[in-house]
Parts: sequence; structure tokens; C-alpha cells
Amino acid sequence: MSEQEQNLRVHGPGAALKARREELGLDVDYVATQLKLSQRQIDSIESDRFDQLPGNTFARGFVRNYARMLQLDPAPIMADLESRLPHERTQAALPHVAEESSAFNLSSGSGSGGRWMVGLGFVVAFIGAVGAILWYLQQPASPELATSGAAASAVALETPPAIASDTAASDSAAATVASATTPAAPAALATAATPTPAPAATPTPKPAATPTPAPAVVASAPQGEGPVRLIVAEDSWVQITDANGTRLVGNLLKSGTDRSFAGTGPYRIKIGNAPGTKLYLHGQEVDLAPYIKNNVATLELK
Amino acid sequence: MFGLLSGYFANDIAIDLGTANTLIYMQGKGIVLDEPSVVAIQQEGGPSGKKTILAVGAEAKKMLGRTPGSITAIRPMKDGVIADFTITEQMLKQFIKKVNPSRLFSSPPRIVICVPCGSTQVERRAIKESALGAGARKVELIEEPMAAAIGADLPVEEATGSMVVDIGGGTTEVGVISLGGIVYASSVRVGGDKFDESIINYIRRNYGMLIGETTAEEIKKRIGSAFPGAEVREMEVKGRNLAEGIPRSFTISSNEILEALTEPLNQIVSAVKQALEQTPPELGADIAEKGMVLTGGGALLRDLDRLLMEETGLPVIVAEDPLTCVVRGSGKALEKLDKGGVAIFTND
Repeated sequence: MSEQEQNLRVHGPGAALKARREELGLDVDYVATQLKLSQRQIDSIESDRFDQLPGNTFARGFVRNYARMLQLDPAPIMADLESRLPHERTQAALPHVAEESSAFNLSSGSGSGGRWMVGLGFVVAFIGAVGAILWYLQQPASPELATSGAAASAVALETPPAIASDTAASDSAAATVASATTPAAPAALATAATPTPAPAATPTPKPAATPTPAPAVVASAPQGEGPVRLIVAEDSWVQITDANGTRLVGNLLKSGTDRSFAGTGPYRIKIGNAPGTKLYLHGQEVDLAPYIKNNVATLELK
Repeated sequence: MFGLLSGYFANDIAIDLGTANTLIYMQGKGIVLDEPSVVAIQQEGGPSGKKTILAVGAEAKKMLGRTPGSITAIRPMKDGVIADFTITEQMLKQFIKKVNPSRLFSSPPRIVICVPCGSTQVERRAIKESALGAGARKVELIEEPMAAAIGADLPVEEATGSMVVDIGGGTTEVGVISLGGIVYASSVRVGGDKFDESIINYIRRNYGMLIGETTAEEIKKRIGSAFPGAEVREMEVKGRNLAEGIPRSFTISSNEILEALTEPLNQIVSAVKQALEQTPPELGADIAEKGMVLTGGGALLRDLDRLLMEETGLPVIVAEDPLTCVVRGSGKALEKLDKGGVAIFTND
């Protein structure tokens, strides 16, 4: 056994097997018949030319069978064989047929790249959704507060002539606006209603300038500057896109909102609750009736 | 980071749902489970009472043939296919839970599962359904000869014929593979179980003794052989004498077991010969050069390779670690699932 190990160390597995075969007095022909291999294959094994065998898997099997036949312990021979086997190319992808068939087989699912794309898509969509929610939550609070002050000051500058000229007219206008807003906003009505007796008694522009009746003032004066103006009596989804594709607005406007939008015409407008919304272009009311379908008005303004 | 994430989410598994053993391979982890396909069921409170699973795997196997009336130890797979659908599903569920505990955000696994090539559409559907029932997101089926060939490291995708003989617990699969596809495959319902059965019958016939399946398996593993060798081994066996009804012990030799195994072994030999007859000549020439590869637990039967060598005149080699060839092959196929290698999978 020690001789076998020595042979193995010095010459390799082939030489060890050959030495043992000769020791047992067997010829190559006999071994080939026993192992059902050709003499050429036995020669290849004995001279360590494993690249001439059909592949590493088979080389291992043949050597193991040979060792067993010669009543040798296969373990040390197999260990030594590993380092002498030719480097075999790894079985990479399956044939191209397989790749082509994946295009036809829909049920095979997307590849790993596709799966990651889907995953990334989900992450992006999630971040987008969170951003949208945060934006929406902040939207009614801060911009309105920021603009209401400006609007109030604008009103203070613009409205006095109208009120001074005819308080009764402005009174009635305020009343109509108030009545338009009332169904959805009783609070607005209350604030709008309370100051009315005061202007009626004293025909001064003070009430309009006082900050307390701000809702009524906001109702009568649009937020922002621009040719397109929206007066929303009932909560409505509104989307306005201008000629450049810029989205001027695209969210739910609460009842009582009066906003103007500036952009380059033509404007593509979609109003979710058209009957409860008034639309003005350059101060002129646009009749929404022809554009309404299932409460939704879709139109283009030039 | 990316690898960590993919490791967290990717929990795809390959299963060799065998008649005797179930093996599970997990992507990136290797073989994570190797347990006998046995389930022990406890019947609570009379015949109409609730049934609960007492044990699965190795623990349940110890109970086989040793259970009281309220417990039944079942092997839900027979001849490579499902014999008891519900129990198989439960067994799979338990095994999957063992290797893949559910975690937060982890999606259900994709499963590659092996089927005998001779199984019918109904049997394949049953295996697919039971894997889906056990919590798989998607199930792909792979034929056992293909999985065995990949697992044995044969050049399956090259334009050369490779022959594989997978002797499992319930079936023996013979396949000739070339260019990533199966050229010829056949399946005979002979395997380790049939060997055990033959040993039981032989001992009953010749010794008038009754032995259990576990004992028969032990005899097969210790002194079973497929070809007469120089050495004759003996083993002492205990069983119940049929005439006296009393447990007795007796000694049996490897030559007797060889005689007992002749019939099932002949069936395997004829299946291999038939495969060789049906193989196109070019591929036959490749096989004559390389020989055939034995995989599966049956390949561990002493001198089975020698028997096939003598019977066919071709070289026969036993794959390394033949018991796990099929599941390792399925695992490799699983990795190819993402790379578009769908030709190796079978449709239903």
C-alpha cells in the first residue's frame, strides 16, 4: 500500500494503477474487457492523459472503476486525480434554443433583470406615492395661507372703488357669491353673513379691508393671476394643462375655492364635478353645459 | 447591499419529492433537507375524530411498522407519484416551513420539483397542485432523468449523447440526453421499494419467516448485491416465524439476496437495453464511448454497475453522491430558470 502511495505521489494516478496492474500480472486487454473500455482509453488513463477521455465526469468514473477492479482504495487516487483533470469549461447557459423559447413561453416569467426592474419600479412608485401624499397634505394648508394674505391686500387695493360706488351692489354680489358657496360651506356663509349688516349700516369699505371676513373676500377675489379662473361651489377634481404641457392644477379643489391660472393657451381642462364649478376665461364665463358628460367636463380653451 | 437584498427575497427551492426520501435544495445554500418521505398521523378520539400530524421525516420513519392503533405512519408517495394527495401536501408544507421560515416581506418561494418521466398528466398535475398548496408562488416541473443528468455533471447541453439511469425508491428512469433535451426516456416502476419487497417475499417463501420493510431495507444495504462477487457476506436477521408465530433469528447470505433481487434487477436491465435499442445510432456511438451513469439510491446497491456492464457490454459509472444527484440537478436548473433555460422544464 505504501508503494501505491509512493507511486501516486511521484507519478500520478495513472502510474499507480499501471504499477498495480503489472503487479497483479494483468494485461491491458484483460482490463479493457473487464471495464468495457477500449485499450486506447486504458492507455490514456495509465499515462494520465485525461483530456483524451470523454470528460471529467467520465474520467473520474473510469479511474474509480479501474481502482476497484485492481482492489485498490479509490479515495487517495481520486483525490490525486482531481488536480490532474483538465480544466473543463463550465456548463454555462443552456442552448440558445432555450433562450429563444423563453420569448414564446410567457409563463416562464421575467428574468432576474426583469424582476429587479419590477422591484425598482415598486420602490420608485412607493416613494412617489409617499411624496404625493405629503404634498397633498401640505397643499391646502401652506399655499392658501401664503396667498390669502396677498389676496387680501390685493382686495384692499382693488375693491374700494366698487364698494364705494355702490355698496348695495357689492352687498348683493357678496350675497350671491355667499349663496353659491353656502350648500357646501355653511361656515363660509356664517362669516360672510355676519359682516353684511355692518357694511349695510355704514357704507364704508372697512369690512372688506378687515382681516376677519377673509373667506368672503377670498370668495370674491381669485387666488393668483391669470386668464383662466375657476370658482368651485362643490368639491371637484380639476386638471388644467397648458399648451406647453405644464400642469397648472391637478388636484381636488375644495368648495369655495376661487383660483386663477396663468399659462400659455390653449388650455386643456378637465373638471370632475362640472355642475358645481364655474369657469371663466379672460373674465368671461364659459358655458360648460355642452362639454359635460357624466358630470365631467372635458374641454379645450383658446 | 444588492446581494443581501436578493438573499433576503430570493428563497427559491428545488425539491426531489421521492418515494423514499425528500430532498430540498435552496438557492445559495445547497441541500438543506434530506428526510424520508414519511408522515405519522395521530387520530384523536375514535375513527371520526380529528387527524393531526404527529411527525414527518426521519422521526416519522422510526415509527413505520411500530405504531399503536391511534397512530399511522404513512409513505404518501408510491412508485414515484402521489398516493395520498392531502398527506403529501401537508408533508411538503412541513418540509418547506422547516427550511424556509416565513419572514417579513419575503415572498412565497418558486419551486422546481421533479417528476418521473413516465408519470401521467394527472399525476404531474397532482404534484404541481400539492406544491402550490404547500405555499409555492410558482411551480416548474423537471423530468427526473434530466435533473439526474445535470446533477451528475453530464454534458447535457452539448451535441453528444449522455445516458443516465436513475434508480430511485419507486421508479427507475432511463434517459438519453443531448443538446439540453431528452431524446429518449422511459420509466419502470421498479426501485428500492421493489428490492425490499422481493427480499421480504424471498424470506417468506424460503425461510417461512416474516420480516418488516425496515429490516428488508437493512438487509439490502448491508449484504445486498447485484452481481456475484468473490466475497460472500452473511447477516443475522430477526423475524416472525409464520408456522410457529414466534420471533426467531436466522442467517442469510449475500448470494441468497442476489437471487431474491434477480427479478427486479432484470426489469431494470431490460429497461436499459430497450433504451439502447431506441437510441439513434449517433448518440448510441457516444454512449458506447462514454458509457452510462448511474444515479439515485439504487446505484448504491453493490455491483449494480458491474451487472449492467456485463449485460450491456458498455462502461457504467456510478455518479458521485448518487443519492443527491436529482436534487442537485434540479437546483442547477433552478439557477437557470432566471437565465431563460426553460427548455429543460416540462409542461405539466
